Amino acid sequence: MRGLYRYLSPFSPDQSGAVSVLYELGGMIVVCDAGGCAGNICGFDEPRWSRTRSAVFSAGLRDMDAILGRDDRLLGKLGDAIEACDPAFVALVGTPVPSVIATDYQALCHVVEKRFGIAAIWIDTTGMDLYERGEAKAYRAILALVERGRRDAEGGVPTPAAALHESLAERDGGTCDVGVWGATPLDLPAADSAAALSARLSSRGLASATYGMGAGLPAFLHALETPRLLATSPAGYLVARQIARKSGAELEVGLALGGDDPASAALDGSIGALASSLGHASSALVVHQQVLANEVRARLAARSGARVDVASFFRMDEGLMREGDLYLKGENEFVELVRSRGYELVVADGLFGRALRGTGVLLAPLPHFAVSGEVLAPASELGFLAGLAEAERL
Amino acid sequence: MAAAPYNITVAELARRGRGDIPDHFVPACHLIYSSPATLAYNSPGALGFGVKRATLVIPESVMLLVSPDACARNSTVLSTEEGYADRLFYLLMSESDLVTGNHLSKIPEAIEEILSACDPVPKVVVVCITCVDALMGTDLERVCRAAQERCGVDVVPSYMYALEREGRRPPMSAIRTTIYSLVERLDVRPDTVNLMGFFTPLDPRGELFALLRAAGIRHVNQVSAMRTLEEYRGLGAANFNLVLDPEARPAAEDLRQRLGMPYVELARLYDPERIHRQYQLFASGVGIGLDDGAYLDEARRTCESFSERYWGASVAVGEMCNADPFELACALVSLGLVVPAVFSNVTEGQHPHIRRLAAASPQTRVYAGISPTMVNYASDEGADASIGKDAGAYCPGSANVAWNSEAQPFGYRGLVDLLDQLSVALEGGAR
Repeated sequence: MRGLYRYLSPFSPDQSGAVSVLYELGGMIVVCDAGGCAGNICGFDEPRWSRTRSAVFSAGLRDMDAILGRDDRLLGKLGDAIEACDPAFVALVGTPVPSVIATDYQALCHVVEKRFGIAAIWIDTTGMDLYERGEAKAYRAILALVERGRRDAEGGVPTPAAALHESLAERDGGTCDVGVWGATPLDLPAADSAAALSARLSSRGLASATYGMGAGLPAFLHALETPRLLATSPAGYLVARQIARKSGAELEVGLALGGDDPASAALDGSIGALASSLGHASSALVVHQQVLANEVRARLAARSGARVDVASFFRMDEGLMREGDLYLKGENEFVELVRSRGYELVVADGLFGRALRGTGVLLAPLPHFAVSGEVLAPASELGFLAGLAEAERL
Repeated sequence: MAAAPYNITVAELARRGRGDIPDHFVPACHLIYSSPATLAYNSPGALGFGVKRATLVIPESVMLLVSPDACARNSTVLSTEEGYADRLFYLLMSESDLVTGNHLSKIPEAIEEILSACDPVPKVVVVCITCVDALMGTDLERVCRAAQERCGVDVVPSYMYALEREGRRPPMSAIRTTIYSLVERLDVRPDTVNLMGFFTPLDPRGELFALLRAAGIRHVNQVSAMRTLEEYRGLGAANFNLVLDPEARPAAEDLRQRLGMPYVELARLYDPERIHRQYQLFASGVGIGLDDGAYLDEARRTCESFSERYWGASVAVGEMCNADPFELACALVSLGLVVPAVFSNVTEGQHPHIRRLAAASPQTRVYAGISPTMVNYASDEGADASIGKDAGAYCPGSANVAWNSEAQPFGYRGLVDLLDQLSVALEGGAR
């Protein structure tokens, strides 16, 4: 039955993706929920929560707020919290409850800007989509805010967005060579991945801005002027492609692996070990977010000569798919795919092993934070890449 | 300019009285800061015992959570870490389900699929719905009755309505009613009592078992210690229920009204004299004799010795522990300790403890851990030790006693164990 999960458990929802993009930008992030959604985001989908402070709040909605549509109470709470935190902007993040009662986020943001004089955006997540959709929505909302601020500032219109723009301009660090999109803890291998990615680019003489993990809000001022863009995940690809179309920037997809950097060496070592367990006529399946899975696929196919397919429960861009790749709509489809195609090796988060018990397939671990969270999270990117070699027969 | 973290002296809090609790202490009055220190408190489903794990104390049960993806996400981690992943199943809703209610019609078929996948086959399936169904007015009882008829196992409705946290049926209170909903009245056994309130068993070393046994009560049932549904059914034979956590009061009241099963409440306390008084009141109330003299003497000796050694040491107290933070603070102050800060929400029911603490230690500061102002908290109360994970996070220089063991502390034994752990911490053992 579609929607029933007997072996797997739910993945990071869109609201977590939205927060992961906004987390380091200095805004006041208000998850419009009763408390549980914010708890899930902070406690399970945001590994930075325990070490980097960010003003992420729950709206603390109660049944009567939802039934009677008491937005005035929410606005009162927002005003108090704005006073307490002095944030750069306010971001309202949607959850299932406001999606049921059709909260008018646009009107709320309009009132916030007018009443409290602070820029406000909303992300209309529903808690029913997966994280990459929330990421893309959050990127777009921030880009739109910065653009609105620029337009108002240049036009001499004294809006909160213009004030934010002027404040960002004072902290402007200038443009960089590469804008990295889609790099969040939910997408990347480990907590140190964004820094490692930046270091790899730097070693090639390229200064980068990693939007969502590392780069702050001022870096968004130049997001549309960066000559090169790197998309590290499907959400990043979606956004970067739109920017590239508009700006003419050169767009690459991947994790900037290659050459003799430690990450590439570790990955090649693990892939070599996996390839030796595969015959030329055999086949393998890689399951992760599409961009990372493609990186693994390219190396595994090259080293083993085997057919390697990619599948994902998350958004897959047609332009990055090959014949045989599949977007997975549910647990049964995944099990059926592995059984029917007779893959010898599955490279995937260890949690997927639950659904493949008894199949005899070889499972190589490729942890994905949006799947197994901290349960299987590696301590470092190098640990993630080295661990790939430790395949287990199910 | 960011605001300072809100706090108030306990003297001022007591002066304002139960009718004038500052908004910062009332979750519904402000945005909620789920700081790493208070995460489990703010989102009861987030860590430890939320609705999902709590419901699974029903022996031989599994849960089907019917919800949007977002509501179920924490289970990915918790069910794996806490070992109940094989008992939790998910039916995820789409936006069209919200409009059509189609997810409800899928429930019986989903239960059949679950039963076919489980070995051993469960005897109870708990179906849990969340806020969105609350708003849609879903009649889950009817859905469960239909599923039960079709599937041939007990199907129990349960609700994870975070929207109703301060409402008439808060989720953690409602779930206790759900847990006992399959109990039916059996012939009453005068020597049997049920302990209600905790989701894990009472520390077996506690004196309560021995005291009850000495009073002729030979069978002390705890649902969390039961392994089979047959054992669970035995709850219906209890002479009365002993409620150890006020959140279980509605469940006990439900059993009283439904099955004529009376109940008595005992609070978890950390002052030996109050523990003694409570036992004596309980004994006279139910007409039994309880000789707790030996336990009282041991607790008094432990307190004296602790007090002598650590007089003047400072201890911050949080709410993420097996205690009422204000009652615990009172007990610590009575031992000669200094309590510079309590990190806790405040409810009307806590005011008797707050008044006592105000009389004994008026300058103790009370912080609202979930106030948005706590995002600016950067100080350290300078306590030597802290009790509760939240207090430990807010006082990083202190030696922390988490005091959140799943073997539930109670009575004199709980007090003695706490002082033992606090001694170790104050000697530098837990830092």
